[in-house]
Amino acid sequence: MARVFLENVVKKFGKVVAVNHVTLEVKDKEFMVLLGPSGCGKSTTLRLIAGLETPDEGKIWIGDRLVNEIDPTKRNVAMVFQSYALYPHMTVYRNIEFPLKMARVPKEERRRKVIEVAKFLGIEDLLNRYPKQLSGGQQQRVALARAIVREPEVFLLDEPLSNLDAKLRVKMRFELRRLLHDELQITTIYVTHDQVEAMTMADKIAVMNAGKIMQVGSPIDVFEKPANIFVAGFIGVPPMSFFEGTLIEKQKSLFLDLGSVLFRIPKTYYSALHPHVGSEIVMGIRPQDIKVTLEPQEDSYEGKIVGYEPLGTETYIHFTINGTKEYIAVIPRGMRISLKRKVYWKSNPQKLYFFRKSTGEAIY
Amino acid sequence: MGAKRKLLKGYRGGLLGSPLKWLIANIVAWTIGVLWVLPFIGIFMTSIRPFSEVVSGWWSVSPFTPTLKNYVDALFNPMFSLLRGFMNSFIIAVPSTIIPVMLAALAAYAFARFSFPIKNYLFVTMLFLMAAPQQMTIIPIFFMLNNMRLLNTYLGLILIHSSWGIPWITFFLRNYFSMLPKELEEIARVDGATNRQIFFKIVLPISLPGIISASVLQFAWVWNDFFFALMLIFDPNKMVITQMLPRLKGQYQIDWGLLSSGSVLAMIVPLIVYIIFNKYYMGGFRGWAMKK
Repeated sequence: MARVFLENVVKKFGKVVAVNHVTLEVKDKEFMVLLGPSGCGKSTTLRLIAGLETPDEGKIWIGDRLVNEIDPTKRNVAMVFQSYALYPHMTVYRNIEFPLKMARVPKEERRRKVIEVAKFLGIEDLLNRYPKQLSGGQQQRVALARAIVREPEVFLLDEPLSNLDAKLRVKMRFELRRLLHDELQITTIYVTHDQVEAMTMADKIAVMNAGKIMQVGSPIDVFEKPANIFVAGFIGVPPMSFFEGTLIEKQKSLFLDLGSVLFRIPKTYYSALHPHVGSEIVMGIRPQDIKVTLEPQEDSYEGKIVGYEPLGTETYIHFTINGTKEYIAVIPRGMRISLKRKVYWKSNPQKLYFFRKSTGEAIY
Repeated sequence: MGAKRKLLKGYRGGLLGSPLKWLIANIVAWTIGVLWVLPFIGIFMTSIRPFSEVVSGWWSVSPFTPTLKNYVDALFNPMFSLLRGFMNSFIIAVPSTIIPVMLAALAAYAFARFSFPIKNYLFVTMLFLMAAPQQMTIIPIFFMLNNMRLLNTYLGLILIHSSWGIPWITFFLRNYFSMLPKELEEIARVDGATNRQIFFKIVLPISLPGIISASVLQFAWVWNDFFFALMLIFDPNKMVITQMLPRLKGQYQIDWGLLSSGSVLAMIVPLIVYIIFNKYYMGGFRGWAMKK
């Protein structure tokens, strides 16, 4: 069991800075998810911890050891790749046994441990098969078994569920969390681009973009209190709708000038926003917090439907205010809508987010 | 309609597009195939019949008296026993396959996966020197072997074939290795394997198709070699099969039966090797694909 600590780590590939001054602490037994779009540096960060890449700057600690100069062989971490990377020429038994063999564990003990882990994961019937004779889900269990068997200090998983079909993915999501976090209690770093995985599995999420960590926090934290526009837009399905405009003050009230519409900002935000009067800001509203009706209501604004996505339980509608930018709102099923129809929308006054347009940082 | 369907039984559509294209492609392929195989059939027909029957051409099929006399004569010729040549060829070809494949595999892995100074220059130099023809190098080789007292020895020829094989096998296997999924090696490293263990326990076993196809090609090349053997081996007892063949020709009159049975015997070995390893051999051919 160990804490993992990255201090100001930089990794460059040629001119591309894949990991840009990342500082991240993963506490002992914590389940940390690195979340971000493709190419944001999350896999590279994981590979740096594993020792498959060497940092250009900064320090990496696993437990009390500074591991910068330590070979992956000796870091006592285990890894699971998206492709599972099972050795195709070895049976399941030999695959799971391999790390123990490398660690020169005596044969009898190897046998005992392999069987124990196989039983634990419910793959004891597959031990004599070859990887190509297994289904995706089974292969994944074998990859997990191989990683668990030598009781590593840290578990590193690189998109381990991405190759499974949707149904199995949901099931494994739940099982993995229970296995790694609740039962084995091993420090785990899990890379994914799937925010649902991140939200459901993590103790803490580190949201990454363009090589930098944008925010670290509990799933609820990053959802409720996004630190910047990127996190706000990345977390949440469908993505948050952003309204850009100039903040203006009229008769002791704040308004967001959206061009054709002046959006009245509720009084609760007055003191926080007042210093920004006159500057460009971005207001974010989660689609679930936008209420759409067919008839005008108090404090509602006019909009026009430009598209919709029925999901069964609810429908996402895309609407515009003045014909250029699209916003998304969630409406209950059964509401009668059609393209180009005029609708009225209002926001939940408690659930507004404000960001500086220049830096993207959250104001409120 | 029925006939047409029968004719196009093998047609699966797809890559070749329309049935007409498929038909043309087949005709072309079959024509080339037949033209290619025809000389072999000729040699085979000549080898299994008495000389008197084939004087007017192997294609005249009456009378047709199959016999193994030519083979027996060739194998146990009192002057130039092909059997001896057979054994000599094996003595030369087997080590000349194993040694370069082993050494080149190590070098190829280094070229594929490690970075070291002047790596690329070294690789390009190697490719460049592969273009040198044998005839250009034979005189220095001759003197070198002479100085090493290895002229007219098995070992000398084995060393020359091995060193001639190492560059192209390195090239071939480097391409093969660089196409293997890197993740297998990475996970093995995280699992605690050293470079040596990764190479022998992971990379070599999964590269078996590549190793085998390189071996088959190298074996066939050494087996079929005439030039190096001709220049470096003079002792009739050490001559390889390709050197023995022309001697079956006879001095005053060519015994076509003897000569063709000798040819069949000489080419049957690489053919058998190829048939045995055919499955791997074809799979291994992606080693030729150029990939950085």
